[in-house]
Amino acid sequence: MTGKLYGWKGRILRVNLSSGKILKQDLPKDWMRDYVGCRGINARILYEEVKPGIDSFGPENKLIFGTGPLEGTPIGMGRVSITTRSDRGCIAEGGFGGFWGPELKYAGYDYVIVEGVSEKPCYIWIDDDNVEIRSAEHIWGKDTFDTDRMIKEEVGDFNIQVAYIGPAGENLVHSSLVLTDLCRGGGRSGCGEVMGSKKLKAIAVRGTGGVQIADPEEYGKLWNQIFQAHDHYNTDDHYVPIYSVWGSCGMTRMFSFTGSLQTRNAQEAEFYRIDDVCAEKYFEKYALRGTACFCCPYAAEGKWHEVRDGEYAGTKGKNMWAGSNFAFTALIGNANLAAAVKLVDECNRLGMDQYFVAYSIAWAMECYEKGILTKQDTDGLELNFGNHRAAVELAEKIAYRKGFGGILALGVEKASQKIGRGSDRYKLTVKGLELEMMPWRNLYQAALGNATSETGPDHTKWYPPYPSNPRIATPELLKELGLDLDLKSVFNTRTTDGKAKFMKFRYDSTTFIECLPSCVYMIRGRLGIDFRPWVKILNASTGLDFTLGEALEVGARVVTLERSFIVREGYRRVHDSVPRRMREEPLGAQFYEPLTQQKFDIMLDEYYELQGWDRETSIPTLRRLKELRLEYVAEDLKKHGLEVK
Amino acid sequence: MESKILYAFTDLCNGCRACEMACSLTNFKEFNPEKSRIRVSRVVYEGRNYPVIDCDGKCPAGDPQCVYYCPTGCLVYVSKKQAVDMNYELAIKRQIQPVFKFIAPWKWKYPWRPWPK
Repeated sequence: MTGKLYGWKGRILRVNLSSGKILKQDLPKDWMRDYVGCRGINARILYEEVKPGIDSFGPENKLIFGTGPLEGTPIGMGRVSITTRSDRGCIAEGGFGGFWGPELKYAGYDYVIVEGVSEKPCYIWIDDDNVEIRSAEHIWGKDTFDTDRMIKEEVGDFNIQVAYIGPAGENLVHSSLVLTDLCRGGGRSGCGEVMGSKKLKAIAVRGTGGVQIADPEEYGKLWNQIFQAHDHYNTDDHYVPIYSVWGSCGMTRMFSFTGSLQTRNAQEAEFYRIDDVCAEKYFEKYALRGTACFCCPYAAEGKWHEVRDGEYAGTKGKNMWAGSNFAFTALIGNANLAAAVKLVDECNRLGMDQYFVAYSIAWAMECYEKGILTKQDTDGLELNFGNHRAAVELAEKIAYRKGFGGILALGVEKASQKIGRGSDRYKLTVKGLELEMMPWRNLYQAALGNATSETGPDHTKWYPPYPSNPRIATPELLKELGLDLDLKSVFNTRTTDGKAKFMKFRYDSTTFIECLPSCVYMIRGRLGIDFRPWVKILNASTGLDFTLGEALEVGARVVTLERSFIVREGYRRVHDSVPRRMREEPLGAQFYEPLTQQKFDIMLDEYYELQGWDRETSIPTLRRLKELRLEYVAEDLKKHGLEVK
Repeated sequence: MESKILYAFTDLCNGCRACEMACSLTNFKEFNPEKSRIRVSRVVYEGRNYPVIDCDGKCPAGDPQCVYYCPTGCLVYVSKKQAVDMNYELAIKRQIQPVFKFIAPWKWKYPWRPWPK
């Protein structure tokens, strides 16, 4: 690895907001081999530079924006990973697509590390080599649409890319997001509020360079192969046409039919008004044009939508995802699709996470119906399931911490502690973070994946939960992937067989894809679980020679490093838990059995064994850390008084 | 034979910029949108995107690569008469199937079942 650097730019931009110092550093070359980039190197930097037990909103915490060797090339899909320490103590990692990442790469940087806390609101303006910290006092408090417009007007260029927070992030609301391109948000595990605590409103980037790659011919061939594998017209994977043409919210009806839709705070599994809120209605009435991330082969995954008549006329925005559709209709019992569009738009403008808003409103609604909360608690709002007017009002109250919204803004976990009266019976949280709309009681691998995720529930850490196309998974391929598994057991979703083995593979391969970076929704289509083209494309862009085994090892290394980070902060096996409702209550009209602790423990034991973590505590073992060349982590854990076996 | 021209059905463009990348990879062997001969002008507050083409479609790779990598079928490389026909086809199909707001019928030829009432 000498001479010219392909793929990576090899530069870290370090901005200290306390002192105003701006540093440009070289990226250590051994990190490129061990962690590849993006999420991997972010975790590496965070582990070394952020000490345990600090105040997440203080100057010691760091906010890291990472890209990788494939960023700025079509297969990078514009993915950016944002990593920091969340105020819950665990690692906060999340990312967005869009166009901000490629622009940063074209400006000549792989990483932006934000340190310290600014006294006054500010934003960072990166114009190729010129970097400056500018005042954002006039922008502070504005919503994301206005922020985007005002910064672009101030710079005088509407083709720059800006990543910003909304009012929720400024007010340190739980689970607020960093957004770009108006509606592409990331970092629901706590990145937005850390950015707000640093008084950093936005990072604006203009880049005029390019990305050089080692072997353009080979890259072209592989790009074509991946593009073809996601051809919506000629595919084996039934998700691909849905994703590609209808967008992910085309899955709502299917989720309801299979009893996977968490309805009315996950009390039920099917929504009886599904015909009023399904994707067909959304396309017919509200969606107007397609929108996409950078070079996405899916034709129209996101949509620009407008509500033109009725109560919510004038709502304009984009991107109703599957999760948004599930959360703002079924979860809160709402059958008014225009209200769901309004809620999506409200969350995007205020910079809040849609899952968090929906789950906290659903939790409050259940408490209200069960008599735990009264009208006096909720500022006179009648929080019955399906009351969309109250939901819209409450969403705004959460962002500005007004009245009852101020309690919900703490997150469901802390709000239930504050209110008491047995309200924690109805909370749906793991590691202090609200769930996503993934089914738990009839998809055990999803339950295992969400419970063990280092950030709190996050399906993008292991997506997809089964091979999209079982035909591709020939014995030869499985052997090469080192996956000694009968795939039938994975499709049998309500047993514990083989789930741990499959999720271990999923964690490793998905993490590797996120380190490139590339989008996890690309592990779909004709390729299925076969991610060899991604390894080849990494080699073609960087000129290195990664093998499949090394790629999986990179994934395992990053997952174990993230686990070490949260273990150092005090997270143990007990925190990899299943919410009470999923453990005790049967599901839906089919009365699927609950996922009992006993069944979950069988999977968890096996998963820890495969990851090489201690069964009792979930601390990575010394043998495993040495295997993954993480000796410095073992020493560091010992220094902090942890028993590494 | 009537000569072919690059056309863009602008309301189908989703702004993914794959065309820029395809152009710069084919012609300059690197990924640099500044060098591409097709640029997408994105009006984010309206959700509209306009491909701006400065090219005759004579690509060193043979067929224009931007057309090949366009996921929605917004870009086409056809004669003027064909383009008029395609525009007409798009308008007709849109009336019976809302999905053609997002994707062109020449990209998505699946025989649709009737729209559910």
